[in-house]
Amino acid sequence: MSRDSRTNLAHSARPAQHADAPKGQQNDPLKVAVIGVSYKSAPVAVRERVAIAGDEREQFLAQLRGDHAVREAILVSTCNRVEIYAAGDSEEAVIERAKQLFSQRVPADDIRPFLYDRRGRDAVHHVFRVASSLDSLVVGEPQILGQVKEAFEIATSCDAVGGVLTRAMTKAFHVAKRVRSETALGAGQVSVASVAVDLAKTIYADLGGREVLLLGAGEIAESAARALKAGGATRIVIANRSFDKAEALASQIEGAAARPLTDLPHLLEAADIVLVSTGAANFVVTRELAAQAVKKRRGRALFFVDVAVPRNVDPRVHDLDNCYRYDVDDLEQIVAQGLEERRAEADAAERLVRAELDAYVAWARQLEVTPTVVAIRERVRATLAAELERTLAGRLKHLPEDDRKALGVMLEAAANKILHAPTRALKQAMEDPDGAGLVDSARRLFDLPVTSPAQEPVDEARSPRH
Amino acid sequence: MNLTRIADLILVVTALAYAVASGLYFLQLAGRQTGTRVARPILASAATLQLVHFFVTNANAKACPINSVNQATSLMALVATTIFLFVSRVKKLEVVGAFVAPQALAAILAARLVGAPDTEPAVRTAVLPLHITSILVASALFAVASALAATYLLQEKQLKKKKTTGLLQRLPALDVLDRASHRFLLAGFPLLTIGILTGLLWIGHVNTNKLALLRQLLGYTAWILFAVVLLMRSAGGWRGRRAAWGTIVGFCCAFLVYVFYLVRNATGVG
Repeated sequence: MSRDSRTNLAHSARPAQHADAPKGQQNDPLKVAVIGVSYKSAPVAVRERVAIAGDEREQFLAQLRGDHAVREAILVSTCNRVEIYAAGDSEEAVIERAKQLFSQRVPADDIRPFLYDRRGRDAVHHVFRVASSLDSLVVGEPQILGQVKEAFEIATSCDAVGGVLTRAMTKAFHVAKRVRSETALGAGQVSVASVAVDLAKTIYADLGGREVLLLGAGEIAESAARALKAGGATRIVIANRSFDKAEALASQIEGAAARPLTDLPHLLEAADIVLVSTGAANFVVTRELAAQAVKKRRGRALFFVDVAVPRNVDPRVHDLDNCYRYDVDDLEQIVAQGLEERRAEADAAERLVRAELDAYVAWARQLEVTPTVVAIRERVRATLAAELERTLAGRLKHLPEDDRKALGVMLEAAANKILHAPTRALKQAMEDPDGAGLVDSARRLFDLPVTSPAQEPVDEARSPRH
Repeated sequence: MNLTRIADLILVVTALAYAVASGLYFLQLAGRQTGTRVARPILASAATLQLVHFFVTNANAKACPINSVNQATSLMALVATTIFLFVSRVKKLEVVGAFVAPQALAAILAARLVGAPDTEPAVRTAVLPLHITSILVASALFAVASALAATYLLQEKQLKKKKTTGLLQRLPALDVLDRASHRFLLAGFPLLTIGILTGLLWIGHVNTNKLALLRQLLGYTAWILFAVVLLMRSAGGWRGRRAAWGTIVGFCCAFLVYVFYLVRNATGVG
């Protein structure tokens, strides 16, 4: 038989790839395990003992992968969770290895009751939920995605991740992005300090050039000062009845200065944001005082945040032009609204995550069935090619080259038509959790070695839809 | 199909594009995600179509756009939209499109539907084109300033009413809106002054009647209002709400001048 007449059938002489089962095990996109502790399972006293910070992370990942059970690993360590996302031949072995390492940091009896683990589909679901901030203490908070990304980058930099986790994490980041852009999960503020900062930013886009005046030097003032500082404020002035306390707080906050409370009229003229939290039983900022300041400020806006109880800023201040006053009730109402909005949006986000998970699992199962489909096609083609070659060398050796080519093409077309329905049935079967049985049956029917889908090799070049 | 019909068709598509952009900007203002990303490209397309419409119309008539009040009104909207398209690159300022896009739509519809396009008979001197061009660019700048001022009032109202969810978070900060509105006012005012002065030179050459006097009065009122806003901001600390209202009322006066011109074309009076 000439080379041309065998073009479509002869390449099928290669052996099926199912012999490469260990490679398949490494690349099963669902062979993921999660183990760790979070605010849901463990108190902070336990979490802080397990927490792994800074350079220690790389060392921990190296230790984890020192055992052959763990091929890939990512370590997420934040104030609310310490979790390992890992891939290996067996989820059980991966989880056991992680438990051993946790027990080296904290005695096993102290840590094991708080550890939880997830496997396969559940593990991938957990990773998607964590990245999307659905598993966070404050649902919808944006920091967790950055923290998970950082953990992935650290693991990548020390070669601790391969195809399985890269695919799962890339998908997780895509899901998180969709949740953020397609739901309002991140809308609404959830702490009094963050509400104050967010409100200030609706008046002043940039807090950098603004002067913040803190009246009072207690714990609330301190936390608010830190939140404002984190929000971009650079000029902070602290005034308090006890000047020593003001100085003490100012010394703890970079760029802060203390002033006596007796300077209040002048301080109000210069300030843009005034946060009041004194223990005074009456108004520290009266309407008259505020009106006087507003007049001298030549129309510049003045924002009062009154977090004191009893209130320290006359409510009528809010009626002055370019003057805004929010008290603790207003702020807590906003916090409650924020939490309520997030709860409503969480359902939509959960649905989105589940849909993405289903798509990911379906894709993973398609990968599992691909080697069987390839092996069946190769078996059929190899048989047909061998029969064709034998016939063309015997009874049909008189046939001209064109006819030989035509026979080759006809057999290729016939093979494709015969295999179309079984291929489709196999692919559809893998969308069913019990579909693995059909794959085994197909392998038996075509006399191929029977392996579980998870042991089959996968095509790394194909990746899930992003 | 002759050029006039083509121009009309382009104008219809332009108006539709402005209407769609207005709708999408309102959705953005209402917090909807649907289609908001395409609001800016659609507004840019509307502006481009309007430009094409000018070329087709004036190539056909062999005229300059400023020769006709109708076209000048439409051109003012185009300039304002173009300015806004540059301004809206600043974060959060895009929602101001909810005011700019309807302004543009109103202007082109008024220019097309109110009064027959009419060539100003006297645009034959060097002074009148200067008068019209300076007024036209100033009006475009005031249109953007007033859109920013309207957004300011909306945001200020949210803060005063303590409506802290939704809209408040989507609108730009008060200081950004106040500053931007002031800058556009400041840029437009000298041009308006030139327009008023050149108008004074021209006024002796045209017949005056009650409507013409009213038109002039509105023009002067706009100028005085803008002058007061700028002066009081500098000398008396007028910012925020008062400045915003002054800007909006001033622009309304300026826009009414265009409307009176259009009505004159429609009725032949004035």
